[in-house]
Amino acid sequence: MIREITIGQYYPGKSLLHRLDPRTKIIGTFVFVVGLFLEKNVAILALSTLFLLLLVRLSHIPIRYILRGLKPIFLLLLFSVVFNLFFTPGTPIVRLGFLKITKEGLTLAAFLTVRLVYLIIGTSFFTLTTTPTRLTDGLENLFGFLNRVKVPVHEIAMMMSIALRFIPILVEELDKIMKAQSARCADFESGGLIRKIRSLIPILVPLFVSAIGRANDLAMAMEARCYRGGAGRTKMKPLQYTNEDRYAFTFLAIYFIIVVCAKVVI
Amino acid sequence: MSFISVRNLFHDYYRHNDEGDVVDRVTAVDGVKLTIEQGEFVAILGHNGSGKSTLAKHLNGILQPTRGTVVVGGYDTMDRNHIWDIRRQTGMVFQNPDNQIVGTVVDEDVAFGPENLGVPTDEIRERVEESLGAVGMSAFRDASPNKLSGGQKQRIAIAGILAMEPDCIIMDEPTAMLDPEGRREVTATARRLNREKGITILLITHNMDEAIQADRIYVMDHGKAVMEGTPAEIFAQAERLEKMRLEIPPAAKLARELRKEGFALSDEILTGKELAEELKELYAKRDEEGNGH
Repeated sequence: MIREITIGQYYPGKSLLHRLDPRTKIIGTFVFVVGLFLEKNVAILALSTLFLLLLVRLSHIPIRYILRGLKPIFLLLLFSVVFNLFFTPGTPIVRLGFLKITKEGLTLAAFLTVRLVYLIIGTSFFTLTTTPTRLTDGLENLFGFLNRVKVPVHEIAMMMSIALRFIPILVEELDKIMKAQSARCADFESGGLIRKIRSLIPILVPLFVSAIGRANDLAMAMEARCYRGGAGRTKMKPLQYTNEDRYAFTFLAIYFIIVVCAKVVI
Repeated sequence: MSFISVRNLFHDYYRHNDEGDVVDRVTAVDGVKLTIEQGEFVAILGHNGSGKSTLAKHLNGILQPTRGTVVVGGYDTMDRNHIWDIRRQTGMVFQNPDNQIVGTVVDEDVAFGPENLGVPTDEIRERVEESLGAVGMSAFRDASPNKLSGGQKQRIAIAGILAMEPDCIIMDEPTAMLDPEGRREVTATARRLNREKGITILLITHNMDEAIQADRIYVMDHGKAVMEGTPAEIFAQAERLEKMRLEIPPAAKLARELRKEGFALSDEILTGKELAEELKELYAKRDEEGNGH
């Protein structure tokens, strides 16, 4: 189950979405999210749906692969749906003993579900089609102005890209540790919440120890390869806007205007 | 002047208690003297805990001497002003292939070193192409390192060093975590880089079969460099090696047993092939003598 987490993973490909400059994609993601949360409005949801369908078409990523990214948030989603459904005051539709489902609760829950799902899918397109190096290059470039107020932008970007690189390695290691503990009769399934959390300790401790060891090795290897911070570094793949990015920006601008119109008109 | 010269090197590790007082001192490197010339292929052989890895980390300034001097390419490793000149000249490949790959795509990782050196974009591309070609990994340019085998990952790590165009590559037990196939890939790559590109190779290992490929071997034991010589000279002293818990290569061992039983074999046999040749000669001679009677 743990191996199935696809959030933050890169899906190799050569599609238009893969080719776009990461900065374009960051701004695009931002426009999409802002649009999505602009107002509770069916027209905007419909527009967002169209936008996502377009992304699916353009990215050439199988839709099942994209949907797998939703698995980890399923519980959160369920929790918030139930909460909204039963505890929103308003006109009741159905009564189950002391519980009642209101019309307002139903709309709220529906909007919340769709919005959360769209949020995850929309943002995961960005990470799925962008290699972590390009992703952090893009962030570093867009937020570079923060350097002037002494925010270590390069360092933060480097930390992010290393974190993304090590996710699959640590996940594999976690899997190995769990198997090793299971072989010695550790039980992760049964018992109440407290017991389940306590059974995580013998997994997390070795994982942390090994992660710190790896960090030490990696720091040494990076220094041996003359890494000394962002100053004076060059890039093999410098960021450069192409005509495709210009079209994408035009499209985003039109999309945003339509969304704003939808908010005003409907 | 030698490319690397180590004079009277000592390195101590300290263990501290909770108050920060020194409770224990371990001398990992104990008065080592060693010289390596440009273009040589040298192996440093030693059992676990013999101090060979600590020594290796001195050769590109990751560690600094407690006492003694290490001079690499004309720069003293104690001189912090030239530490990056030293590291540009002597790249280092480490044991665990996963923990030294920075990039999430093969070519991005190979580019990491030259990017740090501030090499212009076009030249980085050329260097990455060339380095990947040199280790036979061009086909994996766009792959994710997580999908590669251990031997392939280690070759990527070597390519990442090559792209910095160093004069020397130090390999700190690069094969310890690999399967036999991966081991062959890595040692063959090291030997080829030495022969074809004239890159000085320093291979740290506890594996005899790898050490015999070197031009010269240093044997480390308890922090001291106790033996130095060509592979044939070193493995001729089988008993001394075994005292240091080092095995001699299987072919050499077999040859020694045969010698004890009265076979007239030379004591320079290291590989199975050499043993087979000498046995063939021996039998040819014996047949001749038999026919003569």
